[in-house]
Amino acid sequence: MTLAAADFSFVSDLVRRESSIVLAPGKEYLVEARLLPLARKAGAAGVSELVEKARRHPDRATTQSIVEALTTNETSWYRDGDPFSQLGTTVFPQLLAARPAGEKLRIWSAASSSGQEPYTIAMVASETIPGGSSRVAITATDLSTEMVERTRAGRFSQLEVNRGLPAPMLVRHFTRAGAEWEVAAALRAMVTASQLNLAQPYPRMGPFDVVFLRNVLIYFDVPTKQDILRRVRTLMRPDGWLFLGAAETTLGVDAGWERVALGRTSAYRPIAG
Amino acid sequence: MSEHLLEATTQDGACTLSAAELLPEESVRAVAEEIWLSFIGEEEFLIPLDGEAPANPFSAWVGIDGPWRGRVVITCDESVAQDLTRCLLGEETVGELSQDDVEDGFGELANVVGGGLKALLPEASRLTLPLVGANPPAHGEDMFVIQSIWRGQSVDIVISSVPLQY
Amino acid sequence: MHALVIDDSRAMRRIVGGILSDLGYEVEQAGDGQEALNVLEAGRVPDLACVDWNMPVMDGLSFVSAVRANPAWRDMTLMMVTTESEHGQIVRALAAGAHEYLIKPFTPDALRDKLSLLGLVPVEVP
Ligand SMILES: C[S@@+](CC[C@H](N)C(=O)[O-])C[C@H]1O[C@@H](n2cnc3c(N)ncnc32)[C@H](O)[C@@H]1O
Repeated sequence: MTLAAADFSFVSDLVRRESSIVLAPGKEYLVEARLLPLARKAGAAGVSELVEKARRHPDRATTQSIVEALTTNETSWYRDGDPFSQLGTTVFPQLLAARPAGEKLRIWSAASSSGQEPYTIAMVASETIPGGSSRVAITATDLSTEMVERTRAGRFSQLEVNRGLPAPMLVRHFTRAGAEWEVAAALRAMVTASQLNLAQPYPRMGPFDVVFLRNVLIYFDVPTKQDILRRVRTLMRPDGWLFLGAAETTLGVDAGWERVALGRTSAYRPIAG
Repeated sequence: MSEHLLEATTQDGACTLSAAELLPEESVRAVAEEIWLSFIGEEEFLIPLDGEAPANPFSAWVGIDGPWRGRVVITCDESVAQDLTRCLLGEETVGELSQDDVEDGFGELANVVGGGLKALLPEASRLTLPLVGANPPAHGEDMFVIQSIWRGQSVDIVISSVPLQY
Repeated sequence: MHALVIDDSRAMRRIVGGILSDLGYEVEQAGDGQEALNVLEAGRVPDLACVDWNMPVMDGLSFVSAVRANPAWRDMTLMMVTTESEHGQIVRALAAGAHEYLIKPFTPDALRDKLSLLGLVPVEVP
């Protein structure tokens, strides 16, 4: 069964309007596969019936569930390794040396998904900074309210803790809670999670010392990427650091950044002015 | 010893909670569903529905030995055990599976389910090596069944307390 | 690179061995800890051993302790691959000398993630 062209364009327009995520033609199979469970749950016979319902009664809950079903939340602990080891060996020491004692470093995990990224940052801080949990404050945001709630809960399935979390970190920072694993209270206290759409105006926050904006720009078109990178820059300290995903760059998108090599990876720093 | 278990054991250390109290159905299902998704396949769902009793029932079981002694038995049709083994082995499998392969693969599935359930218990316990066959040991009185459907066929997980030495 | 997969389940040895050989490993198998020690004593010392816990004859924890007791085998990386998943069991295995711990069930991606944590996977050049 393939999705009617009109249904696909209704869904892709809606998703674009709400999240700026671009669903190019050819992604019909994705829309069909992701929306089918939603349709079933809503008691609709199929995806077209769900779309029809959303078209006639575009209430907040339906719209939001469609958008959330179409975002990719794939993530893992210490994703790609190097950005997080460099955070501990280079970025934190430099920033701490430049800040008055007692001042907290502010970190933003700007598409935090289910929480692996902000809690990895929290682990790196507590492993590399003496008294780390009191020197770092992490703001975790995501478009999806479900992901924000998961980050707040700080509970992960067995399958999730298997993905890239070093065993010594698992035993040090997690306890079992039934079939799941729960992040230690000290790490949870470092992370504040809230809903935020990167493509819309940002609330008052920051300035941030480090921003993780990883594996999310890939879903946007160039003007949206430009706009996000420019506004993220205004929320950063002049000597701050930006980490993007392995397949993302500011080069050719926003000229306001300098790319710096950090070990085997690279980070971006705002250019003054 | 955790408080939960202190209340649950008598003076000689035996466990007084029932199998269903120790291993809530919801958690057992969560463990089994995860195993299906990661070992059997990304799109392989265990659905919480009752199925028809298998024509040729085949079982794999492991014992859990600690303050609580119990047994976890997975039962399905023999052909389903074959399909599960084939999925477990993934692309590696071509052609017919030997009876040995099925017993080994299905036994490993019981081992993984048993290990996942053992971790839900409040106190450290040991797992016995898996056994496989058409005639699992009889269930004791304190038992409960968790019924599921996989690819339209029934897969039962029976958890029981084992009163005597096994 | 050379890996030794130690598990009493043939299915499991095939799964783990298959993922490793796809990554370019030469894979040898053993059905329990004692068989694995025989392989080492015969001079075939792997770079990586994936070790199940519950096995007949000699279990995985005893195997890890035996390897750690012999300085000649110090360079071997040991990863438990087991259904034992209590916090306390993971602590025990690490204390005995295991470097990593992968809980069954796992996906191929999870095994690859662990190998890259251990620096045992060729790093892709972007
Ligand atoms: C692939 S995950 C990346 C998670 C994590 N940063 C990492 O690198 O592993 C992408 C996340 O971006 C979120 N997202 C998508 N569009 C967004 C938007 N417009 N604003 C904020 N978050 C968005 C999704 O909900 C999803 O959780």
